[in-house]
Amino acid sequence: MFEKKKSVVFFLMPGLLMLMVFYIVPFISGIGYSLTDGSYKNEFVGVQNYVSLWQNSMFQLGLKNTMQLSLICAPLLWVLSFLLASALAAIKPYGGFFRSSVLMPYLAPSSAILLVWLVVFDFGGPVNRVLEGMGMQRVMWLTSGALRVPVVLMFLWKNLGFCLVIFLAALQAIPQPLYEYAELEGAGFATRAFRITLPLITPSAFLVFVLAWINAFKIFKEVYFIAGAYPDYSVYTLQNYMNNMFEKLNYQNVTAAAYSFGLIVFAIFGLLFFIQRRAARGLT
Amino acid sequence: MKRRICLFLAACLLCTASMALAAGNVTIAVRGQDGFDSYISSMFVWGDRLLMSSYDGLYAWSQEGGLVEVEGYQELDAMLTGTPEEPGIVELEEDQYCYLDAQIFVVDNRLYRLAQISGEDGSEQSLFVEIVIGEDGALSLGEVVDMGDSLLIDYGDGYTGYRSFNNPCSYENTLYAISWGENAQEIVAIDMEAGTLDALYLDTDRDILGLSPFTEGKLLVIAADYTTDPVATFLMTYDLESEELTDLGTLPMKDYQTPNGLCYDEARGKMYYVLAGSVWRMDVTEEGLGEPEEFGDMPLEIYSDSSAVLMGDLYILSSYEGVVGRDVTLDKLPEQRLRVENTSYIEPIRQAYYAFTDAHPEYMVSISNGGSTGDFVQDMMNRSAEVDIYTISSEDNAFSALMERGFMAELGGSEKLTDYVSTLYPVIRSLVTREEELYAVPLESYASGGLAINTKLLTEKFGYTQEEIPTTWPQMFELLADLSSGRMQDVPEATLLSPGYIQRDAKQQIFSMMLQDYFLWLDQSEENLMRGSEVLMACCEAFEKIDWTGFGMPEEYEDDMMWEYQEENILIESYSVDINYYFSENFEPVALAIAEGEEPLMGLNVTMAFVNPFSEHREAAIEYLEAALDCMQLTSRMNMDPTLNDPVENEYYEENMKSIEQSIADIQTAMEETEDEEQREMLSQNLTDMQTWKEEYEKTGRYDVSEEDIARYRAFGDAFVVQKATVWSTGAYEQVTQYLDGAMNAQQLASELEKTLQMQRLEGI
Repeated sequence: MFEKKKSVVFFLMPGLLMLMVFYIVPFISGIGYSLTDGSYKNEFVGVQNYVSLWQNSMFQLGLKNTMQLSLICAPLLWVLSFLLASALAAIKPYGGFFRSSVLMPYLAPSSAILLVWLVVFDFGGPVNRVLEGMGMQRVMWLTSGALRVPVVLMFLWKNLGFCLVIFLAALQAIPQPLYEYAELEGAGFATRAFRITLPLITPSAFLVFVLAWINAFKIFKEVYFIAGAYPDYSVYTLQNYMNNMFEKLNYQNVTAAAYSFGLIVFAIFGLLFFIQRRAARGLT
Repeated sequence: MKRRICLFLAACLLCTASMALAAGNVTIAVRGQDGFDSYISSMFVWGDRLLMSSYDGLYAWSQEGGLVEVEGYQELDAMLTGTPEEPGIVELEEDQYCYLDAQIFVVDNRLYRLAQISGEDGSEQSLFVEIVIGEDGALSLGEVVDMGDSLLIDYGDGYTGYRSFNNPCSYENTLYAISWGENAQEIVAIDMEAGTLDALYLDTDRDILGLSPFTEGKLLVIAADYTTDPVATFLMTYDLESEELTDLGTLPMKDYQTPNGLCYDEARGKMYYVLAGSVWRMDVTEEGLGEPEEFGDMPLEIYSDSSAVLMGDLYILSSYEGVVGRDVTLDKLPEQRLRVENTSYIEPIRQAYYAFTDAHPEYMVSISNGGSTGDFVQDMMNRSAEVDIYTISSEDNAFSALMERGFMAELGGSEKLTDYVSTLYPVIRSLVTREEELYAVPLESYASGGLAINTKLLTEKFGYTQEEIPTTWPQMFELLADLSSGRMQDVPEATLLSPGYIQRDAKQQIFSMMLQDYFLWLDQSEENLMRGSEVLMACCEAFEKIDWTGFGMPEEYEDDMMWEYQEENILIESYSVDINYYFSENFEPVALAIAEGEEPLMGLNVTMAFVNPFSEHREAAIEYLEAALDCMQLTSRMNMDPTLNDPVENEYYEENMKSIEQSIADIQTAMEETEDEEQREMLSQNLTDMQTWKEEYEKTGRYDVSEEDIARYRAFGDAFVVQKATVWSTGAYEQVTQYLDGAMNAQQLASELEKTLQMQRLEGI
């Protein structure tokens, strides 16, 4: 209906300008920036920064750890939040209380949460005491590779509530008569889950998965607060690398790392979208 | 024709006269220049002159007469308390002493100076003593306003202190000033008639930064709110009658720098202030504020107690380094501007202002002190020409980044700078040059982590031999372990470090000193990095043998801890190594090697200035650095230049010696005159003390830097390495604390530090 109206362009202009100034121009100039040597002469060095970055073993380590952590955290979060949402959807009394409770860690600041976890996973803390009580050795949770365990748990604890709420909303939006008809037709639990629930919550489930993965990519604060800029090799993430490079004012390296990672994330989510569309078609 | 020529000449003369009468910017006094060396604490306009007071001098300045010292100021002390010949205006008890403060306050056209009387019984009394300037200019004392103990602040636990007053101003017979009270900054009102002090009620949580008289019955107040981020600064009025504060608006800031030097010009309806190396004016009315307008540069950092004053067209400010005036009528800034980011607070950079602006009146120079070096690289990335000169320390991350990427202008064009740098220690030279080209000018240096061992105490009282004096850190720890195992009790008066340390802090201090040397050593070669853990473990092993309870230090800080500093009883002193040596002959400064067979190292922190390669005033900036070089103190140069080895004489030596000799002569005369045996005995003791002091002064007072000092410092020459950013600054602190607290053993500490270093290297740092 607006096709022939020039005023459309006029109304869109402020938004487009903002988009241009704050997103597109910085994005493109950032690419240009990553292709220079960052010196006084600011010479164009082509992909040299990218080559040296990809050859850097700490970048590789950070990338590998970030991928591993996200591969552990995202599916775990997805499954847990779905199961909990299903359970909560079935609970009628006190449902609101439980929903609010699981959302609380998401709202609390990381630093405040961290103190609790530091106490819990301290060498002399409750977790180690339980382990000792079970006849096992104490573990250096906070200063060794075992830091992955509290980091994953912290991630789940913090993000579970938000994902759960999305699932819950999707589950509650499914019309109940559909299940009643299916039951009348003799459909069992599995049939109802795969033929009704899953197809109808696919867009939300996909959203939860994407958000979980994006958040998992951002696991850094917790590691940084506990173990500093140089944690154990097994929890050294890509953000540790970028942060250290930024501290040393090596901005070219930071931008090259950011664009490299951006490209990987873009590829992953492109693939996920593709799968989601195929899956949605298959399910319907 | 003659008449016309006369008229023309008269017109010319009038023009010249009017130009001469125009205020123009002036430098009234600068410490270290033209024999002026006083810290001006207060100033005020008196008739056609500006009077400035310091602790021991009163100065008068006028455009025509220049700066002169007022005679008779120092005699005021004698007038106050009296001499044997003439009684003073204040009668003191035998156990009381009295001194005059440096500030002069003007209240109701009368001048007052604060006098504090203290008694040995702890009694305190404050007086405002009027200073009278006679028609012939002679100074005398007038009425005394007894303030009792109202100027005394009780901090609790027996601690008291006198109030200080800054930004004073007055209405009628009441003096207003900013003063620290028991808990917070206050505005106080001192009634000179009643002799009372009251803190004004301020209905605000903001911090009061500045004060100036405003319209009748009102004060202009600058206040900052430090609870917001960024900090916000406000201009407010305070109504003296209703005790109400009213916001006029917010004032501009630069980073964390707030406006100061507030002064209100009622005739023009403007206020003047200083911010970020410039002076600003702004319209101000009860309704609000106008736009800020820069009208000149300001080299002074305003930390004086004194208020800014207005004298004709001159807005005059003072600080600990001098007094300058800025013409408020100037409507055009100089054509060129040089901006200096003096992040490292390098003094010669600040002092170079005067010589440079004298030589280049076409330039104004804005010096911004403090701030963050983190912005430097961003400035460079943006190819910003905003700042012309930066200062930076070798320990700063940004230094390596800027040097390596060529973000420093070549200075090779200046023969003066290259000649200077060519004489410096090679480690400093190589820091600021690349491929034979000079990029920065080192202006200050010091070596932290110096260690002085009381060899006299160790050999004479503890019985160690000279060979047992440690030369490595493991040896040092072995010595400490030996001392802590019981030998310390043989000399109960001896202390490990300066008095005041508790066990935990002493342990941390000694370990940190070792660790600093360890990191320096690691940085020197690949081979050292490979052996790092092994060497650290050896040090830790020796360190762990020390029984920290064996030095007689308390475990925790106690409220009633009392210390007496007796240098001869201290075993180890840490200090910043420079050409001036602070300790007595008992001590031997040492640089300890990290292990047997290794060379000892001494980390130098070098602070330098460089020119922005994008600067549009590169030549002028280089000239400014040359001026800064001229302002360097000789001792600073000696720290970096091994060719300067002549002792530096104490310029006050002769004067002080004369004074000591005069005192000796006075005591001898008094001894001859007195018939009281008890008095004679006391004078005889004074004479002996004075003669001992004279002998001591003859030995130690002649030189600021003696031949021995130079030799001591030069002995470290081969050990100097430049201190750069290390792992210490990026996370090692936490691990070391864990080790010292026993949460980590030496093996774990070594492997943690090694891991961090390894990761840094793999990252390519």
